[in-house]
Amino acid sequence: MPTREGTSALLLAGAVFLLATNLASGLLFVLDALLVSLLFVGAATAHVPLRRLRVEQQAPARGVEGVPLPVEITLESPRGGRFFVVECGWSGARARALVPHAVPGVRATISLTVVPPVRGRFALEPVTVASRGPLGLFAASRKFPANGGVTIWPRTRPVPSGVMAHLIPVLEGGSSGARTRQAEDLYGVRDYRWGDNPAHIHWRSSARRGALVVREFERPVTPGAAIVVDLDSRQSPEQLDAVVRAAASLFQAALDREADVVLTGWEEGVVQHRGREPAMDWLAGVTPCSPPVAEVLPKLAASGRHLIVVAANTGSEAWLGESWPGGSRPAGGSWPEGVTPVLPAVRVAGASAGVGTASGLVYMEDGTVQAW
Amino acid sequence: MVGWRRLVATGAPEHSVPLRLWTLASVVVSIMAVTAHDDFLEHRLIVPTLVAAGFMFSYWRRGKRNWWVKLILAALCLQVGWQFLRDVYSNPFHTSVPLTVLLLWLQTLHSFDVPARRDLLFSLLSSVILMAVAAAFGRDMTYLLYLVPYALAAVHVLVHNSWQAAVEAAVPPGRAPGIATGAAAGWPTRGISGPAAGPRLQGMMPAANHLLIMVLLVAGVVFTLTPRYEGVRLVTLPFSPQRLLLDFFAGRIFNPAYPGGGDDGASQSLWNPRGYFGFGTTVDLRMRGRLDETVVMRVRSTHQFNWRALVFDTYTGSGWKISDNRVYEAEGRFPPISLAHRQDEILRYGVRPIRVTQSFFIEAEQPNVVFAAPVAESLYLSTARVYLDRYGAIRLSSTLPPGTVYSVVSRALIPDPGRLRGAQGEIPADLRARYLALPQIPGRVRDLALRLVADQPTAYDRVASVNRHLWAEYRYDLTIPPQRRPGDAVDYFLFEERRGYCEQFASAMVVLLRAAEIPARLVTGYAPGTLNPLTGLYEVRNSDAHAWVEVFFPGVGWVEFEPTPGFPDTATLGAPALRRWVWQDVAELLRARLQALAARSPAAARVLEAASVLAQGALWAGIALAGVLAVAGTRLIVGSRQASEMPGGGLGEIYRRMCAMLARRGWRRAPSETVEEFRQRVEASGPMPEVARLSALVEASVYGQEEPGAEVLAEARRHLDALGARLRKGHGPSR
Repeated sequence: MPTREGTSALLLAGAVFLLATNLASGLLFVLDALLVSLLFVGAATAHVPLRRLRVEQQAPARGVEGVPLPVEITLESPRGGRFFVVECGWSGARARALVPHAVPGVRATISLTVVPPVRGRFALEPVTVASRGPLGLFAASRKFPANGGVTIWPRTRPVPSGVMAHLIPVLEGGSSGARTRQAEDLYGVRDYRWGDNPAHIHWRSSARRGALVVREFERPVTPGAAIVVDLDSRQSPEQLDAVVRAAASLFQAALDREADVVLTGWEEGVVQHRGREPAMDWLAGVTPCSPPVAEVLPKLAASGRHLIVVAANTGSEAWLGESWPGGSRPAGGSWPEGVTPVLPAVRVAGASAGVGTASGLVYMEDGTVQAW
Repeated sequence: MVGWRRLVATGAPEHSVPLRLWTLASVVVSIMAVTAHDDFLEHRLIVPTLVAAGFMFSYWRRGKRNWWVKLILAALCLQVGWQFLRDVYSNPFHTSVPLTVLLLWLQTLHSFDVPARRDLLFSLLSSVILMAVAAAFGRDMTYLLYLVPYALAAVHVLVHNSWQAAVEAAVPPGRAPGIATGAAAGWPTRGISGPAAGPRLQGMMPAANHLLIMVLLVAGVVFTLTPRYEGVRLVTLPFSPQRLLLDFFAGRIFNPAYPGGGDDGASQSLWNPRGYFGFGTTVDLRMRGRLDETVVMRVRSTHQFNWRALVFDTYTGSGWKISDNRVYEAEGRFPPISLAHRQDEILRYGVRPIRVTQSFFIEAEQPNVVFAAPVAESLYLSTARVYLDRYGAIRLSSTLPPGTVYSVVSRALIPDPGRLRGAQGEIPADLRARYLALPQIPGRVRDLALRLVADQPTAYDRVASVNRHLWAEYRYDLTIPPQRRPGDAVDYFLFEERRGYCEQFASAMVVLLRAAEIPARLVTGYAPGTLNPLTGLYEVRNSDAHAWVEVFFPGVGWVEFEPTPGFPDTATLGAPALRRWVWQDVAELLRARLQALAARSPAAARVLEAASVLAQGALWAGIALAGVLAVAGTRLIVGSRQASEMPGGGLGEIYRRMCAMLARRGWRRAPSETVEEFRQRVEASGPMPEVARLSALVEASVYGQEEPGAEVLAEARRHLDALGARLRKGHGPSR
C-alpha cells in the first residue's frame, strides 16, 4: 500500500503526465518518468526484501507480570533490506524494534523486551515485519507464524513480617513447643541391617525366610499448610487478580521458608499443586469459576492440611465464626463441618486481597498492614 | 479557539540536520532550474539565498512558538499575491511568467516556517512543482543538468524521511521518539551492518546513491515506454510579450545575414555561413558555401512539416526573385492575428485539411518573416503590423531577435497520390501566366522535361517522374565549385555539374515542370529539423535552411514536393511530430541521419549497406544468444534455488556429490524433488543405507536449529565414501 508520501508521488506523477501530454513537452515526460521510477523502485525495495525473509522467534516459556521479558528474533534475508520494523509479542503485550539494515545472507539477531501487563497463558502471536523501504513510498508487511506460548505468572511481593509471624506456626506445622512422640504404623518387613533395633525383629517372618527380617514403620507426618485460592465466580477480574497475587506472594514466602505448603483451589474439583512452577503455572491461568469458597471448603479441608484461605469476595464470611470489623456477625457463622479449624479462614477488607487471621493483621495489596 | 490553536500549533519538531540539508538542496536546485530561463534570471540569486536563510531560521526556531512568524509570512504572502494580480492584469496573455514568480516567492516565504517533518515534505512537493515548471519552460538539454542533482537530493530526502518514520514506528507508544538506544530498545545485537547501538544512519549515503542509480536507470526505461498522446491544448499558445512595436520595413523583406542584398539581385552577395541567402527578395543560384550548425530555432509542433518562409515565382536564369511584392496589412497588436489569404492562395481543398499547431522559439536572429507550416491561419505574436503577400508568405515589421516566441495555427493539406491523380480542372489564367513563365532556356532542358513526362497519364505522375529523375540521377553535394561557365544555372546543373544544393534541385524541378506545362514555384524556408526525443522539440539549424517546390493541382491547391535527395520526402510530412513511443523517435532520428549521410556520400552509403547486412545478422545472432542465455539463466536460477535449499558449507557439497554420483548411475534428482522424495525413489530400487543416512543428515541440517558440526560432516563423508565404494563394486540396486 502506498504511504502518504507515495500517494502524493502518485498524484504528482499523474498530474505531470497530463501536463506533459497537453503541452507535448518531452522534458515533462522526463520528469514524469523520474516520478514513476521512484514509485517503482520504492515499491520494489519495500516488498522484495520481505519475500524471502526468514524469521525465527525465541521466547521464554514463562515470565512474570510487570517484569520485562526478552524475546529474541532472528532474521535472515537473502536480498538484505533496510528499515525493517519488527513487532512481536502476544495479546496485550507487544514490542517493536527497528532493524536499520539486514545484511544479505547474514542471520541478524535482535532482542526485544516485552513487558507483560497481566498474568495468563498466551499464544505467541505471529511476528510482523514491516518495511517502508528506504524510499518510504510504499508500506509492506509480512507475518511469520509463531509457535508456542508463554505463561505469565502473577507478580509477588514480600509478605510483611507481621503477617508472617502469624502464619509461621501454621506453615511449619503444629503449635509451638516440643514435638511429641507419635505412634508409628507398620509399613512392612525388610532384611535386617546392622544397627536395626533387635526389638523390631519379626521372628515369625525370619523363621519362614531363614534370615533375620525387621519390621519397618511409617512415620505419620504432621500435615502442612494449604493456601486456598478463592475462585468465587462472583468476584471481578480485578479482585481475582489481587487474590492471586496475594496467594502467590504467600506461597513464595512459604517456599522460601522450605515449608510444606501446597496451593489449592476448586475448579470443578479439588486441584492441588506442589512446587513453585506447577503452582505458579496454575495461578497464571485461574479464572473465577467456582462456587463460594464456603461451599467448597469442606472438600478442600479433606486433605487434612491447615488452610490459609485467600479470598476477596466478602460473601465468603458467611461461614466464619469470628467477629468482623464493624461488629457485624454474619448469620449462621460457624465452621463448616469437616473443616479443621487450625487456622480460621480469613477474609479481606474491601476489594483488596489480604491474608491474615481472625484476630490478626490484614495486609493490603499495596504492602501496608492494617490492624483487624 | 481550538481551531486557532491547531492552526498555529506545529507538529513534533524535526531535528534531523541531514534531512533539512537535503530538502534545502532539492528546493535550491529546483529554483535554479526555473531561474535558468530568461524570464526569471533576476530571481536567480536572491531567491535561493533567501530560501537558505529561511531554512536556517526554521531550524533555529523549531519547537518554539512562532505565531508572530506566521503573521508576518501571511502578510508577505498577501503582498506577493497582490503583485501577481497586477502583473496578470498588465499582460493577460502571459500568465505563466507571473504565476511562476508567485510560486518562487511562496516557496521562499514557506522556507521560513518549516519546523516539522511534514513541512519539509511539503517543501519537497513544491520543489517537484518547480521542476515541472522548469521543464515546461525548458527547450534544450540543460534541464537534465538540474534534473540529475535534483533526483539525488530528492532520493536522499526520501531516505532520511523514511528512516525517521521507521524510528518513530519502532518506538512504543508513550516513549519519546529518537531516544531509544542500545540492545534494550531492540537494536540488533548481531549480524547487522553498522554499529549495533543507536539509531545512526551508517551507510545511508552509499545506499541512497545506489538507489539513485537504480531510479535513473528505471526512469530511462519508463521514459522510453511512456506513451505520448495528443493533448487537448487547454492553455493559450505561447508567444513573447509585447516587444518593439515600431514598423521598420513596411512590408519589405530584410535578411540580417545579408543586409546589403538588393531587390534585383544583380550583384552576388558574399557568403555568410550564419544565415541563409534564400530569405531575401532573390535567390542567387551562384552562391556557394556551407551553412553552420548553429541552432536558429526550436519548434514544438503537432505535426512534422517544412517551415515555409518565402515563395519565388520568377526564374531569371541565374536565380529567382519575387515578382510581386505588394502586401496586405493586418493589425498585429492583439494576438491571435487572423491571416486571410488571397489571390494565389485561394485554394479548394479536395481533402480535409489538418490543424497544425506550432510554437517557434527563436535562438538566433531571423529575417522579418514568419516561418510556419502552410497555410498559416492564426498568428500569435505581438507586433506592430503583419503583412501578407500574394504567395501566402507573412512579413513582419521587425526581425525576429533571439528569445522571440511565436505560435502559428495552420491548416495543412496532405493529399494522397490517389487524390492528386484525380485532380482535374482548368488552371486559372493568372496562375498559368505567373507559374508557367520561363526565360529563354536551352532546348535540352525542355527536351528532358518532355521526355520525363511522356507516357505519364496524369499531372501527378508527371511531377513524380521528374521528382524521381532528380533523386536518382543527381547528387546532393555542398562542395560544388562555382559555375565554371556563364549560362543558365539549371541547364548547367542538369547536364554538366549533376550535383548541387537544394536550390539547384528545386530550381531544376520547377523549370522542368514549367517546361512541361505544370505550374510550379520555388519555396524557401527550413526543413523540419532534428527532433530531440527528450525535449520533444525540433531543433532547426542553419544547415536546415532549404528550398523545395510547390506544384499547383487544380481542385486541390499548392502541394509540396521534395526534389533533393536526403531530405524528408513530402509524403512523410504531416505525420505527428511525436510518435507514440520515444524509442520510435530515437529510431527515426537514427534512420534520418543515416539516410542523409548515405545521400550525401556514396562511400558512406556502401558502408551503411554493409553495416545493415551485418546488423541484421547480428540481430539474429543476438536473438539466438538471448535465447541461449535465457535457457541457461533459467537453469542457473532453478539450480541456485535448488542449491539454496541445501545446507551451506560442506554438507551441501557432500550431498551434491552424492547426487552427481547417483546421476551417473541413472538416478537424476529432479529440480522439484525434495530430499526425501529423491531418497524414496532411489531406495525403491533397493536399500541404500548411505543415501538414507546422508539424506537424514541433510534434512536435519536444513530444518534444524543449528549448523552441521564437524562430526556431522565427518559422518557424511564416510557415508559418501561408502556409497561410492558400493556403487563401484556394483553392489547397488540397478536402475
